[in-house]
Amino acid sequence: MNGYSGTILRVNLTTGAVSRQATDMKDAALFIGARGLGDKLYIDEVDPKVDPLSPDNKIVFAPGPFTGTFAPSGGRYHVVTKGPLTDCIAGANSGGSWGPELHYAGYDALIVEGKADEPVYLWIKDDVVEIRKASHLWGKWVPETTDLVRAETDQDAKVACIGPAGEKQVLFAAIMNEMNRAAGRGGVGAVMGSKNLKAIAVVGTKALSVAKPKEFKEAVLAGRKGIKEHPVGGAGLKAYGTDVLVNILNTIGAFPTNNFQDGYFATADKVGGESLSANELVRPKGCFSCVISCGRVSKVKDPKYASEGEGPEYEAAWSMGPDCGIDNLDAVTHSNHLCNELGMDPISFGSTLACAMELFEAGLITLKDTEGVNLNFGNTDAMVEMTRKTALREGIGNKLALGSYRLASSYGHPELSMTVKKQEIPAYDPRGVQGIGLEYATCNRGGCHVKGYTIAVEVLGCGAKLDPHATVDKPYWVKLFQDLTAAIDASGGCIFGTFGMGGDNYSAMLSALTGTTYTTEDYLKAGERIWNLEKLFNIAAGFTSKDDVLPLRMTTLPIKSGPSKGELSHVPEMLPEYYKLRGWDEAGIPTKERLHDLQLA
Amino acid sequence: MPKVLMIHPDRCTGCQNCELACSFGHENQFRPTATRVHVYSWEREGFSVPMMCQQCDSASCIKVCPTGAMHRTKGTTLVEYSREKCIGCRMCTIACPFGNAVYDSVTESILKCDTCGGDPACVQFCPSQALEFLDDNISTRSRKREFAGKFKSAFEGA
Amino acid sequence: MTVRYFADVRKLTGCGEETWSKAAPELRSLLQGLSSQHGAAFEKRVFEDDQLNATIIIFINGRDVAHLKGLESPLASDDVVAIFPMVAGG
Repeated sequence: MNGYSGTILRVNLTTGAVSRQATDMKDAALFIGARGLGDKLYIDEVDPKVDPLSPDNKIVFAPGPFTGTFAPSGGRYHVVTKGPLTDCIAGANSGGSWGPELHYAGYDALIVEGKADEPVYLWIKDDVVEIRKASHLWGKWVPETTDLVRAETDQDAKVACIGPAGEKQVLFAAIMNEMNRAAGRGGVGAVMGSKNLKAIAVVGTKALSVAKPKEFKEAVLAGRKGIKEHPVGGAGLKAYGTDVLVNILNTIGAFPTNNFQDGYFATADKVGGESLSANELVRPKGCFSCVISCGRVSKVKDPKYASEGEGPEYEAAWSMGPDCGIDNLDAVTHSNHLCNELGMDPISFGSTLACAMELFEAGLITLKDTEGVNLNFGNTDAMVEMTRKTALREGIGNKLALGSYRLASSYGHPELSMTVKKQEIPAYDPRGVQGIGLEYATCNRGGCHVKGYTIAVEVLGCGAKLDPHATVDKPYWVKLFQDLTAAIDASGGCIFGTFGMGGDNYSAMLSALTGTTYTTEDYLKAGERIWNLEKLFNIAAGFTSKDDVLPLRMTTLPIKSGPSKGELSHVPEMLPEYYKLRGWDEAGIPTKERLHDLQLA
Repeated sequence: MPKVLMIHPDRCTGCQNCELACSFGHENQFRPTATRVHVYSWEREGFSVPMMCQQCDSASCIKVCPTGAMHRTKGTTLVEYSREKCIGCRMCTIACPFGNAVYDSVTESILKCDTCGGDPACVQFCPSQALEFLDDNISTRSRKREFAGKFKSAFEGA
Repeated sequence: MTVRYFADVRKLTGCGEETWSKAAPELRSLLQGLSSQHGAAFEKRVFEDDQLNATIIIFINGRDVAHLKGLESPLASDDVVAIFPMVAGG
């Protein structure tokens, strides 16, 4: 099979049963793979009302057709489950090289169900699948877990695992692979922890075939050329990493500061990509088949924060930095290393801490609650200490581990949590950039930027130059980005490939690889289909248009200082047009006509 | 002018595009066990090293090969492998001090870098210039020049 | 006025920020003045033929000049001009 291995692996941790089923190629054609196929498999089997941390929840790991080939920056896999942080469909995407290995082992998806009595790990070597004891690994951090699992299985095995955060079911715990890559958001790591599944080790030796090798190679070379000639994909990201965004967002005054109390931070440059390149950066890193190398191998030499690892990305530098009033990049880098080692999403962690800081400064959280730690904005040492305490659920970390919505609610002020559907919104102030606010409000997995990254056209001028303060046409762009991203996620591609490649490149590669012809229109339609499938799940889970809202602060508290001073978000004005473009009714429910057109009904 | 495949581990990002290009170039598919080049990565330090046949002047594999399957045409740089002469004894895989010759059970042959007939696919696909195919006598010059630059900085600073 | 440089543009100017006191009624004349100061490499980076280089983004007081008047955007003496190469996402 071209682009597909043809087999789906299923492991039931309750019974210990390992079984296989054939990949439904009709579904593969409609949903492509990875996020799309993973969604379809998950949604067909799981009750939308399931408790995410119960044995009845399932978790699907799926590579895409590109994964394991040299489609540029095309080595990703997707994790699908119901997120314990949000109770929405959770989809977390990761790079590294674990996804390709699962594909080489012969699987288009791995479905894990049930719960093991005691900690276990899976050892998959092509057709041989074992469920092995992991009690001796429980409690170990991600790097040590990876080393120990490899020592017991194969030195070259790729290992996806959880750290203490996932074991303790921190609601934003991540699944880490190759130690530093993350399926980060929504609490997918907590789902693994709730199943007593510590790690999945894989060795794969089978071949992935190509329908039209010559055409595929040509399409790949054309895609690589596009990326190489693009200033972002070809040079910018490798030189500075995503953290270069700090100064850009601050320059336009849409850089959320102190839990979104403001949109401008005077000393932002200290935590930006230029500073990172000059100080903590060791060298760039690339995931499997990547031609962009946005990864940052980093090292902190200051003895107080000495550590090595990868990152921080823009989001992490922001959330543990200026969102908490902090500008010490050594400390932020150190905390990012800790987040990787403990297996925790730095975006939700940092933003939850910022919320805690606001609650503390308001006198709602007391020194007694914090066991004497001053949770003031700007307290760098407290931020580093809380990183560890949150992942390990110690002291007040136990409350932070629930995310800012539950934290703030427990103190009677949920409006101080900067979340949508209980997931923390990331590093672009929606008052200063209108379209990304609409993405936050409507994203199927809760407050998220990456599934509809309109920043590319609203701020970065990539392909189009839209005014960030304007609302005109933003619903169109949000839908376009959401649909295209879904298709790329489903292919196994990294969305940074869009800095140089477009729908034409992707559909050409997918067609030559699989032998099934996708026009660019087909490709986008597959993305729209995936988006609607996820939406239907969320509706069945109980979500309504009332949940497509930003935190109250975004529509009531204007940005206080900087170039976007005085701005508010206008998401409520854009939402009706967005629903209409999506072919949904005024309540945000997909119409029968649109579902029929998408072959979902 | 004979050419040599030069490796720059300091430029390697660990992306494994070279392995993919190698497998695809030889078999038109992506089979991880078909690649003649392997990249080793250390996650904590973030360091990666591509490893492939060094086409040694005094090649151990040629010395131990009982049939002459491993051989060199006089005057060329490449250590050549003739499948027809190979008996699969795997002595070369033991003799190679770098582990760069491996036995492939799928094709029942020895895999070692053959420079793709003079246009190495790995070099074409490496996005970081960590692999270069250079004239033999200037291949080390970029590293020599870089280090000479460090002396220059040291003396200028003094 | 204040002029700020980011990412690789800093390498062309040797600094992250400077104060510009010479007259510059609009962006074009400011960039021409900066080019005289910082040299041909800077000039080539910001201009392409007679237009703003397509891989450069310039903000005046946080507004992308593409939404103002491009190279003809007027400048006041207390403005903050930020010059970025096209970069990143994430």
